[in-house]
Amino acid sequence: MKVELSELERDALAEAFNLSLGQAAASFADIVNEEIQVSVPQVEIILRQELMLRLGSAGQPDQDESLCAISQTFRSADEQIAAEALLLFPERGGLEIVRRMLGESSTPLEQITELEQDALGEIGNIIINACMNSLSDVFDVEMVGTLPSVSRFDLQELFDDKDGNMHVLVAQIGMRLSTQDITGHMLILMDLPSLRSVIDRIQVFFGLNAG
Amino acid sequence: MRSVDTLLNSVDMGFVTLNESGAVQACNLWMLQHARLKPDWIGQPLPDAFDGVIDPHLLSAVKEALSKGCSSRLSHAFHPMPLPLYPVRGQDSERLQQAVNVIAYEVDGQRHCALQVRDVTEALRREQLLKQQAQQLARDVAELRQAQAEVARQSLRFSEMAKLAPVGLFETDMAGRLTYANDRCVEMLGLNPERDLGKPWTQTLSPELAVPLFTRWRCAADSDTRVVEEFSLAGARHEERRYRLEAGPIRDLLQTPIGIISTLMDVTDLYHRAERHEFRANHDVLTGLSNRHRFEKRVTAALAGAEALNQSMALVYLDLDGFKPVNDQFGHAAGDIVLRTIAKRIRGTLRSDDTVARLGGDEFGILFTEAPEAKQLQALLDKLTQAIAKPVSLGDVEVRIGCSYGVAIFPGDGVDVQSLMQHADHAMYIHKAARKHDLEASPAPAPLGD
Repeated sequence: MKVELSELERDALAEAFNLSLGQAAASFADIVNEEIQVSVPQVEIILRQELMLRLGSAGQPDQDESLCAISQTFRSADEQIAAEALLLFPERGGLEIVRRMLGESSTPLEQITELEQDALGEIGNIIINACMNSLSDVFDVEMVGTLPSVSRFDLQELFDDKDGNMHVLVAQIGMRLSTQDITGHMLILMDLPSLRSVIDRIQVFFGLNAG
Repeated sequence: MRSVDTLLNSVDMGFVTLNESGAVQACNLWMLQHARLKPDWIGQPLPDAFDGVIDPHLLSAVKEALSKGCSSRLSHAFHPMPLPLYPVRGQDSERLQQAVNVIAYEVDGQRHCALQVRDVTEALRREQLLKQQAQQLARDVAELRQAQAEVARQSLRFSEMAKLAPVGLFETDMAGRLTYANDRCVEMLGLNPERDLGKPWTQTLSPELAVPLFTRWRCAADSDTRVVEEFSLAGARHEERRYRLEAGPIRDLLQTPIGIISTLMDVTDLYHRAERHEFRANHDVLTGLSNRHRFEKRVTAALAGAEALNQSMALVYLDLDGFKPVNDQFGHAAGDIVLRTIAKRIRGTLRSDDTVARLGGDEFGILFTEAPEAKQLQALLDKLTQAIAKPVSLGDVEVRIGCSYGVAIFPGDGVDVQSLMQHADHAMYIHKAARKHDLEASPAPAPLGD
């Protein structure tokens, strides 16, 4: 079965995500009164093992650094797609962006506080909802989601309980706030039937299944 | 459903449910207690059910939930008070700080939405306190770092100063064990820092010097007084030097002595100079005998002693005869030889506890602290006269010198220095006059030989 996206499909999805992220950026600007730039995402379907390698090398200079994940689960209204959306940030970067948004860059606390974690949850929630909105347009089905939950873990723990040979739809997102650069990864984890359904729908939406 | 109602009413957070058209359906007990709902709130849209303004972000999140099935979180950080909620027993002006979740769910194929509200007022207060404390801690740490840096700088400054100091510096604990010694001190005491740190500071000195010195040093240290000691030390690499040790306690912030800091100064040159000065002040440089100043002091002291012990004391004035012609004829250098030779003869004739002084010119003084019997004294004076009268060699020539003397005995001839001295002086002139008479009767003593 085909589990890869063609270049055209990847570009088309990236464009769809980009529109959504533009809306997300506008939402941020609305709540923090500061412009946030979101880069054009890179979208692809890769093996979890491969994802692990990338997370371990790029943008993760310190292998031991904790990651911060905001996760929400979605299912399509027609019950054909079940997905878990994960937004990953290096914990330190996440903490800095939240503090900067809150105008509290001088706080010497090393750990993220409960209320800051809530705020990070909201930021993730806005990004994830925006992406899922655009996906539901592409899939032509409503994606109903749960509330975000925020957790921290080491990279090694990310897929501890999952099969490394499973496929993941990944969108790499760069955010820039003032002088702060942060690179996050949006992961959409699906079981095989869901992935198959998703690829079919993508091809239908972009009219790419002629061949 | 009853049990669900009971459950919802017992939780410490607010719930509001909205139907597919956004009308308020139900609120739990918490929400009824904290919101001031209008009397006919059931079935009203959210803005009409509450008595105050609702954050537009919340309204759009509700819209998204109902239209698209999106669940959203409205964090306190970005939306401090989305709903007009009040503390149960609070003022109207007080508002609850909240965090709101908007949850989309389905009932019988219809999209409904629930608001879940948490009161974060207390969490906010705690976090602000935590941040303040963290900031205070950061400031304290910064101050501490600065203080540490300053201490390090001072320590460096001190060690540089100690290194360059011309005096020896060392520090010990209260038991006298070395904790620090600068290079100069290491050199002075012949220390080996690696070996001798932690040992008594007198470690390298000879026991004869170390034991009494350390004992005195300990006594002063224990009695909390400043120590000033001088001692001589012959080092392995240098001749004997004289050192002056000064020491005093170092105290901690509570004024408790925690150690002793000592300085060692090389006073060898000063010491020798002082010795020379003292000798010059009390002695006649030419003959090495006591001078008039010292002689008078001795007489005064002896007089006090004799008075106290009820003893007698004898004072003799002695004047050379025929010295001036020698001086005139052969020069001052020859005169000096004569004076030195005669001084030596006088000194040699008397006991070591008798004081002999050159009072000036060719005049000498002798002090017997215990006056000999008259006979014995006369024998002594005869012996002196003979010794003085022996020829004095001036190299090529020899000269003969005579002497006249006068004696004063305490207490018979006077009871104070003044009267005794006058008496001796007077007696000497009488003796000289008698001898002059004799000399004129017999031929004058002429230089012997050529």
